[in-house]
Amino acid sequence: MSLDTISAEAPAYNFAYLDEQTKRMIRRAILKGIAIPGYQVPFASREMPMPYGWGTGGMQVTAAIIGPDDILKVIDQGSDDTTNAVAIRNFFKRTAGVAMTFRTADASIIQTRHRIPEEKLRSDQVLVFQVPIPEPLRFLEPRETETRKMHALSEYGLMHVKLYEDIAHHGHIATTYAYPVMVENRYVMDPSPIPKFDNPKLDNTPALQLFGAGREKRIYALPPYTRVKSLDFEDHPFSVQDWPDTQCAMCGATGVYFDEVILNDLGERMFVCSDSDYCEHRQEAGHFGAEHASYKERMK
Amino acid sequence: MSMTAPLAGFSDMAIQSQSGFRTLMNAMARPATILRAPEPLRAPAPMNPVAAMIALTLCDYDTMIWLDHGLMNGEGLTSFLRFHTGAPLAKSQAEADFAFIANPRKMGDIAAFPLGTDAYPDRSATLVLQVEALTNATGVVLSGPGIKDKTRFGAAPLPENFWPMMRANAARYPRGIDVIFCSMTELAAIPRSTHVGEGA
Amino acid sequence: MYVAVKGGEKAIANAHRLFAAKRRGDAGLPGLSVEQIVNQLSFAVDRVMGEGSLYDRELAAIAIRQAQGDLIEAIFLVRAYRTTLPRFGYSVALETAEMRIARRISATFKDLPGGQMLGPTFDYSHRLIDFALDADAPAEEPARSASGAEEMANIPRVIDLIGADGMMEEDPAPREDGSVGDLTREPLDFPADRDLRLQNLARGDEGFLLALGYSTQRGYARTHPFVGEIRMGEVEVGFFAEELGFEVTVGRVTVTECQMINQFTGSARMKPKFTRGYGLVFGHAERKAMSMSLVDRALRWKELGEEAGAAAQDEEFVLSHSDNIQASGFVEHLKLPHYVDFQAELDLIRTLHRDAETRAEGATNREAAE
Repeated sequence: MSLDTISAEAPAYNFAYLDEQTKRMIRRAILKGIAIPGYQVPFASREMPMPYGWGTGGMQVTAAIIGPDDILKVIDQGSDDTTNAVAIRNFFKRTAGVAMTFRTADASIIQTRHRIPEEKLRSDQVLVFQVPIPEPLRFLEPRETETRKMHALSEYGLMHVKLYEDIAHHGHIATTYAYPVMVENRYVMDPSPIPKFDNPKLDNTPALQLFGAGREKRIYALPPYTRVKSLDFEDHPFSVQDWPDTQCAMCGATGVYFDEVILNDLGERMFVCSDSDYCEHRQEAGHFGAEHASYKERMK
Repeated sequence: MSMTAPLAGFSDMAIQSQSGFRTLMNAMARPATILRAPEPLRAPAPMNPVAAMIALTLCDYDTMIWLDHGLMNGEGLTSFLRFHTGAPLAKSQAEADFAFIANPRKMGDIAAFPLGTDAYPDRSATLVLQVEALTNATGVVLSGPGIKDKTRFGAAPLPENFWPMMRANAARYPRGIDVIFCSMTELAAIPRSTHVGEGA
Repeated sequence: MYVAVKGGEKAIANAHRLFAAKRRGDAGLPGLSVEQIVNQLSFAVDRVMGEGSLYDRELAAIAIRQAQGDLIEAIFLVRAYRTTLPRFGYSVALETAEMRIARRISATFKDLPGGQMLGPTFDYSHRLIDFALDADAPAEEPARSASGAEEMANIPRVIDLIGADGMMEEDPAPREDGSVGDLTREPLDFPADRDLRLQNLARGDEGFLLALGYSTQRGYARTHPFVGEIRMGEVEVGFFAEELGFEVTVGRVTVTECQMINQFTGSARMKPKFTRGYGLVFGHAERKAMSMSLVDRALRWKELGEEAGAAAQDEEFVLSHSDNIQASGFVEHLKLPHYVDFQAELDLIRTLHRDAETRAEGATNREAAE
């Protein structure tokens, strides 16, 4: 047998790719994370067949919890059809063979990058976040040895100083995504780079939320009904992005997170729901926005 | 020679341990919720089938197992665990990653197990207590992460000082141990983050 | 007109097909065989084995072919494969003093027991592109040493010769329980012991270590290095089999070892003596082994009571950024869509602009009123 024929034989991978020892190690970390909400549990993250920074933490968490009866939804930027979401969905299709869905309501596990679905999640659902930099204090203090001390002492003065400097400088807190939260009044946590628009959805939700950071080798969790408060000041309360007088051009929704789409070189633009499933669901129910073909038909 | 092969473990490791883990995860995420345990395993006495499922789901050669007196002396039990998990046995409570306790009435102080440190609260033990009954009808009032408002929880048999010890455990937060209760068919968990109120 | 972006899956599948076609190139030319890569691109193979942290020439060659010669991509393929392999245990420590030497040089002594053995090397060659190189022509048969392989296998290490005079620091004692750290099993924790640091450096990116090692030569944590010895050759890998109760040899690997000897002026705790920086890499990889030994020595500043402050001495900085699989993944993830967060930033800038306009209008109105 020549070396070339050896390479042609596909190796058999375990269910959901990871070997059982690795799954056990990740599972133990998940249980610890759930027991200590907001605390980043170190774990021996594995090299995955996708690059670090492309969702390997979320993939390892999903691979450790997923079973044959699960229905998986994968989104990136709120959409099921973005390149990263497609690649991760294909990975689990190939290695776990579980059912996939685009429908938020039908999913038992939702792996996400950068968004929380608009639809309220239920207690039988698990939301798995992909996290690039799990340490909320990292950009204020690059040293792990220092940030670990701050978490040990629940000493978060540095973070408050940073946010206050923003206010002094800009009149606003200038953090718009990955906006830090306080979990159960004990740990400051990075909610992953979701827009702060999604922060209120973290609080007191019926679904379990798991966070995986592969490259940085950390797992953390928010059990259901956990108190999660976005950091703010009495005279500068936390507020989320809003788009006054804006409707989704496709489904007419308001009060959701919007993608801004540039239409032409004259700078004309429109706004559409970032959550693609939410948008399609509304269109199926007969809600149309100004740019939707059916709406235009109706207006003729 | 009367060497007998250890009792069987999971017939489909990947699928059965996933199912067991998912139940454990849900139990830990929703403290005091009593769940029917999947994949019970026949293990040498006095280890109960749910505790055996937990051992095979979570333990391996990277975890130290501590067994209480009854389990340590269970005929063929240590070889059953070694064969299926490869986990080394802890010589003292202070070394344990997982502690299996068949007779909670004689469990002693839970603070003898690793509680983690302020910097690494995860370096702590998980206690698996075998009990006869679990209930949400009576017992202590619990609240905290994973519990919507409040819930009641009771397990028997437990030592008299159990709930005071659990209050002290919660007071050490984020340090502390996490507890999984298991009967012959069901399980429930109380992590360190749960506030233990009045009752019992 | 805007159509909700569907068909991403199709686009990705097609991108992969285009990529496969690019890999194959002109189908009229013969495809590369794994044997050709193993034999004729041995330095690429060695680098992929070293940083991929898996000793398997054929596998490394397969990865290089699949990665179209992108070595970091090939290293990534090997790492992702390695992580799925079952682990049987740890080998006993390699005994490099018993290496079957293919090349061995010392810069600290003109001659020494065992002699200087130049072996195969780029050194002393003129870097002129050989336009006449005939890839198919057999190479001229080199002269082989008359002495047998056995003789080549017991050449004392230079560092041990100097050590005998008490001018060289002792080899650090292993941990009492004989254990070594393994950052593939436990996430790296700071401060890290030397075993973990060396493991990290051995897997680290050659370019990153080269630049850091170079910086120590230019005064950023100067260590006055001398190449005590570089040796390259085959060593036996032994494995203690619990069930047999004795050590068995599982194979041989080619490694490059660099023992750097560094000047040390002494401190409150230690008399002046020579200190060591150590590098050990799979395959023939001198540049990497030397860089590793320079960085290893620089990272030892604390135990030697030296002053810190340079990049190469900063343990968290060095160890956190040495892995090219982590680094390339995170740098290249910037290609992924980020429009949700960008939208959030757009919104903030617009708000700040609106605030500024409101303030300016307020000022104009006040002026008008006055």
